[in-house]
Amino acid sequence: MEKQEPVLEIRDLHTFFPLEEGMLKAVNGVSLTIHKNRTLGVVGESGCGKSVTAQSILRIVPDFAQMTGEILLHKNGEVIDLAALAPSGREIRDIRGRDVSMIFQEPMTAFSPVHSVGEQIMEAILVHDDVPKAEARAHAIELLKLVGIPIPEERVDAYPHQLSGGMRQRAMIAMALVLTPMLLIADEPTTALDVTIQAQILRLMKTLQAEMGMSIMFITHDLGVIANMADDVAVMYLGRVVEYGSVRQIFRTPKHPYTQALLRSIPRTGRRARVRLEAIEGIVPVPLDPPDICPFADRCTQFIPGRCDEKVPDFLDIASGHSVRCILYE
Amino acid sequence: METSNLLEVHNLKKYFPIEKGLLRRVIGQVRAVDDVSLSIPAGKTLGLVGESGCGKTTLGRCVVRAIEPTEGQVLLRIDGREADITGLDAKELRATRRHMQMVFQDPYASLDPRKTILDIVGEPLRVNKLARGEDLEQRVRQLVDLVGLDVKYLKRYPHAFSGGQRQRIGIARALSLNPSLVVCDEPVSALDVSVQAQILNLLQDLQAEFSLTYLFIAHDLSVIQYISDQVAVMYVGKIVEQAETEELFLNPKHPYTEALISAIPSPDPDSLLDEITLEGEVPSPANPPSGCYFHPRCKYAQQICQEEIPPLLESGPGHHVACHFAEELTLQGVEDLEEESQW
Repeated sequence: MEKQEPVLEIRDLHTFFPLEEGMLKAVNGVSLTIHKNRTLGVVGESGCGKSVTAQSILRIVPDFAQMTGEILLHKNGEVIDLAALAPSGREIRDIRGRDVSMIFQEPMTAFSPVHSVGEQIMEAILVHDDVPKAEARAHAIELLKLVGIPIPEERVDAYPHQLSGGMRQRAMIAMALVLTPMLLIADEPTTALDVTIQAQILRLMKTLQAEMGMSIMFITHDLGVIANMADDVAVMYLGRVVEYGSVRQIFRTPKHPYTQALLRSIPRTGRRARVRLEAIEGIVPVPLDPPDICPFADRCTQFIPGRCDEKVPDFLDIASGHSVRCILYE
Repeated sequence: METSNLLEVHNLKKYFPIEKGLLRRVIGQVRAVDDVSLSIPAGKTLGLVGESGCGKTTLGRCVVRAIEPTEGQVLLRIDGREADITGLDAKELRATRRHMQMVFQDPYASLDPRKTILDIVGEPLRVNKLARGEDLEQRVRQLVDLVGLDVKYLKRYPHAFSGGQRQRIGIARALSLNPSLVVCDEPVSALDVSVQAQILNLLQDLQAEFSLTYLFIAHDLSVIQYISDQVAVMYVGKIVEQAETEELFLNPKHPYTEALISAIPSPDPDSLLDEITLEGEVPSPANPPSGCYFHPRCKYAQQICQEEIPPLLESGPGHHVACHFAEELTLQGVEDLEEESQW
């Protein structure tokens, strides 16, 4: 196994939103490590805190959010705590885009509709680097070519609405890669795409990762996409990581009852595909003033009264690189 | 109409005019649904699968005449007699609607936020003057209970419910008139993974209990395989392949079906995405390519594919395919599922 060098370490991150109805504990004590040249898949359902974790890294959560914990970025031998930076200060702005960049589910929200794709990619280049405009344009065309946009010399002048969904997603990836970041955060980047286009984008991301040597934090609800993209997987539920392991550990020997139930509940293609699904009963909870007990307690079939609802289970190492937050393993 | 079929669709077309200028001159047609024929046996589920813009939703809406088809015939068996849905006038259509209902994708947009669950689920009964007062509330209670919701929520508004619960409400509303056909348009694609299975199981239970016939529209092939008895694959307004579910997934005969199957990311870290990545994108139904609409993306395409549209022909028992080379090609279907996991 290759030596694993951390690029980003999240330690005990809490991101809370004080609302009228109560405290929305979107991220409630998350610790994660993203390694060099590897892909960390973060999987979970709506409200599990996966997107807010990503937004916390880049400090793009709304101002009223309360954030504690450490987000350590390892950059050229230096360690910078992103959580300690001013949210709109020069330092974090330098890091966004240059060291850590992000792509989203809906590319239309990332692009300005009134500027051409090329202008926007060039702007990203010119903000960080002092190069002549012609050179920036040439670089933009090169990037569009790299992400597989046909006739990039012409498409560079296209406006976002003139591109199809798949092409827009490619253009957004090009923009995110302008300064060859060491970490790319991808938040549901293929969820809005058709399955054949999704396959193209996933393949592109893998190729680019191999060529450019970057780490990826890949956020999705789709277990199939995670299985194909991730080296390591964090399963999140109600603001917490409930299981972490290598992609094989998570899919072959899942330990947390939630991970197990999730894997049993999805329909799969194959010969015996029509056996009845094992649904997880109950509803996906909202993390509004959650009690300090096991987050999955009320939907778990292995719930033990007096133990699961007593405290939040510890995050235990059960095998090399495999951790689980469940009292069954305490 | 064959006696075992509940629904038959013959040569259905839906063209949307492309208009231009002040005089709204028609300068072209979007062939959203282009000469589609299909049938569903009573009590069975036909899965209709395809990528965005392929016309699957338009087809579903034409079947219940939520929008008017341009041409073609929709036949529905009602109480043992066949009714030509496309030939009904407005009054007859209203009377017939109770036999065919729809369940929609977005459980947030398809329920009126100002109405209680009692109003929403009871509305079809009230509008059709089938029940009122105590009787109506009693019926709604049964329906709400049937779809697995607590009857004490009857007076609540939709905002108080989660996505999965709203979808249950939508299903209860669709079932309130005892329909025989339910057109489900992406009923689980907006739901969380853990809730999808609940709704899929519910739809299956209801089908068994009330011998419902489903036209199930979805883009997710694993969902389609799970729920369907037969599957029709649509591409740019046309059905390119139709077969029994297992046959279609194990022995696809259209290159597009093969590519769709290979593009499903399997929840198994050892089965990497297949090599059959489709290049290019779905063409616009306003300006489809010549010949077979799939030929620009098809790795098996030959000269004839650019010139002639292949007809949908039977290539095995119950297996229809629209490809010039259906008999020659050997295509890759799904891999076998591995044995049950230990955990």
